[in-house]
Amino acid sequence: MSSRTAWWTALAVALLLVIAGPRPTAHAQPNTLIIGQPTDADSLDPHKVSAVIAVERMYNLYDTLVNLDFDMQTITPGLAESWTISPDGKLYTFKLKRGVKFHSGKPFTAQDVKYSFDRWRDPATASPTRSRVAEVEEVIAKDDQTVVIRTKDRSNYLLFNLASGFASIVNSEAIKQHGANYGTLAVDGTGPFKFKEWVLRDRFVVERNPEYRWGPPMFKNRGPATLERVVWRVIPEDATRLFELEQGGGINVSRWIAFSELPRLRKDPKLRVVDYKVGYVVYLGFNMNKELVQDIHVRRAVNYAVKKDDIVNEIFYGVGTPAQGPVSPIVAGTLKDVGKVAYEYSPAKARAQLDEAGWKPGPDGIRVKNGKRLVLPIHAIAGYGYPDTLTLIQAQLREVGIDVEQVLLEEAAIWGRLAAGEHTVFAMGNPHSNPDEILMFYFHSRNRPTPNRFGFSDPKVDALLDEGRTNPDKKRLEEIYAEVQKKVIESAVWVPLWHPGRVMIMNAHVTGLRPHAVYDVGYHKLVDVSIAP
Amino acid sequence: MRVYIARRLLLTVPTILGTSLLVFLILHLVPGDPASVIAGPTAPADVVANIRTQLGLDQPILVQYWRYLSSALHGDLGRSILSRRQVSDEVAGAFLNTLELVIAARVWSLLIGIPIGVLAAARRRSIFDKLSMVTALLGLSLPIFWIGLMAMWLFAVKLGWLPISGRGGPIWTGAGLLHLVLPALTLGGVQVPALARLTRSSLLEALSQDYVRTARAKGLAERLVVAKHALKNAMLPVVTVIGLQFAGLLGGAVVTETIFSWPGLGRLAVTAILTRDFPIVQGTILVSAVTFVTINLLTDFLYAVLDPRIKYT
Repeated sequence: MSSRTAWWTALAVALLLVIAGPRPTAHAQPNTLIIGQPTDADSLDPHKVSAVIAVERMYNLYDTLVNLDFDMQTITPGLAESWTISPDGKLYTFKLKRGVKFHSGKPFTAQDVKYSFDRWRDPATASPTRSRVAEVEEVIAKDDQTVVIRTKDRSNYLLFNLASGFASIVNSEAIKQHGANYGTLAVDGTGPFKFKEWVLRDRFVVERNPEYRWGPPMFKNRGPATLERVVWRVIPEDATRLFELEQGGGINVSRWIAFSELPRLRKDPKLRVVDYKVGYVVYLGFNMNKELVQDIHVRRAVNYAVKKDDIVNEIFYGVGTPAQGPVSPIVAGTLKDVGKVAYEYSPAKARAQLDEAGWKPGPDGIRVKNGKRLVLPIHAIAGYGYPDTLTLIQAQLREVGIDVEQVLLEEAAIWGRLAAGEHTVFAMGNPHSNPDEILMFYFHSRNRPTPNRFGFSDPKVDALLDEGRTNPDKKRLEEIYAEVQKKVIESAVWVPLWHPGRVMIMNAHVTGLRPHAVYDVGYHKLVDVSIAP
Repeated sequence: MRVYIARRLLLTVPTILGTSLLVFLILHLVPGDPASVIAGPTAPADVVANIRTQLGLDQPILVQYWRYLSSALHGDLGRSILSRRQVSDEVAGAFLNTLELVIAARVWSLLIGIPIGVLAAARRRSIFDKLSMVTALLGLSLPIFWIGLMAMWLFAVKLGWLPISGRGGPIWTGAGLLHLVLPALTLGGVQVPALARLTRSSLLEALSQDYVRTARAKGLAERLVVAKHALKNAMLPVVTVIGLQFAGLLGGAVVTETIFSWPGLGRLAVTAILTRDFPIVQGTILVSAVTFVTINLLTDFLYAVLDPRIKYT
C-alpha cells in the first residue's frame, strides 16, 4: 500500500469511527447532574454577590445555620441543631452541630460563624446584601458549639435572612489564604459538594463531599449526596439549551427553557416538566415625585386599564398568575381578601378616572390636558420578557387614551437612572420570602431613593412596617401587613402585574429533584437527587 | 526592513493607548454603574455607594484612568469588578479559546474558498462557475446564527455525529477537538463565499493581463499559467481581506460563540460591556488592538513575499 493510499484509508476509518460511534457528549459522566443556564455567576464568595445564579451554587457548597423549608414559612435547622430566643427577642443562642468539617478538613466551630457574620456586616467587605443583617449588633462565640447573636431590636425576620445563601458559613483561613481569589479560584464550605473546576462562561463543576453527615432535616438524605458530581453549564442561546436538553446528554435539567416550547415538552415522555410557585411579583411602579403621575386618578386609570390575564397568558404562556396585591400569594402575610380592594380590569372605570382628572381625548385618541398629551415613559430592563410586556401594556393603555414611551435599558444602566429619579414609571420584579422583604424594602420612607424608587412616604405605613419587624404577636402581624397592603393598593403607587410561575424541565431519569422557591433559586441542596441508569 | 519593523512596532504604542483612552471615556460617558449590578435591585443607596467607594468608582474619571494605566504599564491589568478575577487570566483564557476557533475556521475556509474561486475563474462561465457563484451569493445572504443552528440541528441533533455545544476540554483532547468542529465549520463557512468570490474576481483580472497572454503565447499549460503566473498576483487583495477578517474575528466571533456556548473573547467583551466591567473591557480591547496591529503587520510582510517589487524601508 502506498503512503498516499494508507493515509486516505486511515482518514476514512477515522471518519467511519466518528460517524458510527456513540453521540459524543464530553460532559456526560455517570451519576452526574448537568444543569443548563444562560449566564454564569461572578463569584461564590457569599459576601460579594447578590445574583440568584450564585446562590443556588452556594447552597450546595456551603451550609447555613438555619434553613427555610419548602413551605416557605418554617425555619428548620441547618448547622445549628437548635436555638433559643430571649424573651425580649434580642438574643439568639444557637447550639451548633458537632463533627462538622470544612472541605479542607478544618473542623467547623462557633468562631467560623462569628467570622462569617462579622465579615458580612463589615462595611469594608462591601457586601451587597449587608442590609439583611443591619439589625445585628454583636456576634459572640461563647464556646466552640455555641453562638450568640445580639440584635439592636427584636427582629421577626433575622432567621429568614440567616437562611439565605448570603448567610453561608465560610472558613476564615481559606479566605485569608486565597485573598481576592477566594470565591473564584477556591471555595471552602461545609456543604454537600466540593468545588472542583470552574471554566468561566463554560462550566462549573462540583464533586460529592463524601464526609457530609450533617444535612438539614428538610431533606430526606442527610448524608453524602447520591450524585457524584454536579455540573452547571453556561449555554446563552435558548435554542441550543433546548437541543441539549432534548438530546438527553448535554444537560439533564434546566429552569431556562422558552415557555413557548412548553406545550410540546409537556407531552414528551422522555422529559418531566415540574411547575412550581415562587414568592415573586412583577409590577409597574410610579415615581410620585413626577408631576404627571402625582394625580392619583392617572395612577388608578393605569391600574384599571391593564389586563393582567393577557400578560400571563399571551406572553408567558400561562406560567404564573395575575397579581392583585404586592405580596405573592404563597408567602405568609399576603392579604387574604386582596380581591376586595384590588383594581379589576375595567377600561370604562379607567376612562372615568381620566375624565375626572381633566384629561380629555385628543384628535389621535390620546388624552390631552392644558395642551399636553398623556404620554407615560416606562423604564424597564431590555430582557426577561419586559419588552413584550411593555408592548402589550402600551396597546392596552392606548385603549383608554394613554400613550406609552418604552425606555428599555440594560441592567447596568437602569439602576443608576432609577436611583437618580429620572423615571416616571418603571417595570420590575422582585423575589421575597416574607412580607417584610418586599414591603419594608419598597414602601418605608427611609428607603428612598432606592429601593423605594416611588418617593412613597406615609408615616402610618412607616410605623406599621417598623412594628411588623419587631412585634412577635402573629395575629397582630397579620393585621399590620394587611393594612400596609391595603394602603399600598389604595395609593395606586403600584400596578401589581403578575406573580411569575417557574418551570423546571428535566430528563425523566432524574429523580428526587424538588424545586425550592427561596430567593427564586430553584436548586437548593441537591442531596436527594439521583439519576436512574 | 528592520527600521520599518521597529517603526511599525513603535506606532502600535500610541494606537493602543489611544484606543484604550477612547474606550475608557466612552464607557464612562454612557450611563451605567457596575456597583449597582453587584448590589442588585433591592440594595439601599448607602450599600451601593459603599461598593462604589471600595472599588474606587467614586473617583474622577481621569484619576481612575491614570490608576488603570499606571498598573497596566507595570504589567498589572487589574481585576474584574464583578468577579475579582485577574483580568489577564480571564482575557488570556478567552483569547486562546477564540484563537483556536478562528484558526480552525480560517484554515478550512481557505482550503475550500480559494480553490472554488480559482476553479470558477479558470472555468469562467462553466456550470461550476455559475453554480458556485450562485451558492456563494446565497451563503453571503444567510445570517450566521441561522447557519449555525441548522448545522447544529443536522450534525448534532439529527445525525448525532458531533456534540451540540460547549468547550468540551482542551484542544488536544478528543472531546475538545470534537466540540471545535461545528463552531469552526459555521464560522469558516460564512467566510467561504466572500473568499471564493474575491479570489474569482481577482484572478479573472489577473488572467486578462499581458504577462498571462505572454505565458500562454509561450505555450505553457493552462494549469501552469493560472497557478504560477496569475494566482500569485491575484492573491494580493485576497491576502488583505484574509488578514482583516482574521484580525476582526479574533476581536470576537460573538454570534458563533453565543450559539455554540464557546467561552471566547467576543462573549467576554459583550458581557463586560453590558455590566460595565471596565477593567475587563479594557483588557479585551487591549488584546484586540494588539492582535489587529500584529496581523496587519504580518499582512504587509506577506505582500513582500507575494510581490518582490514591494520593498519596505
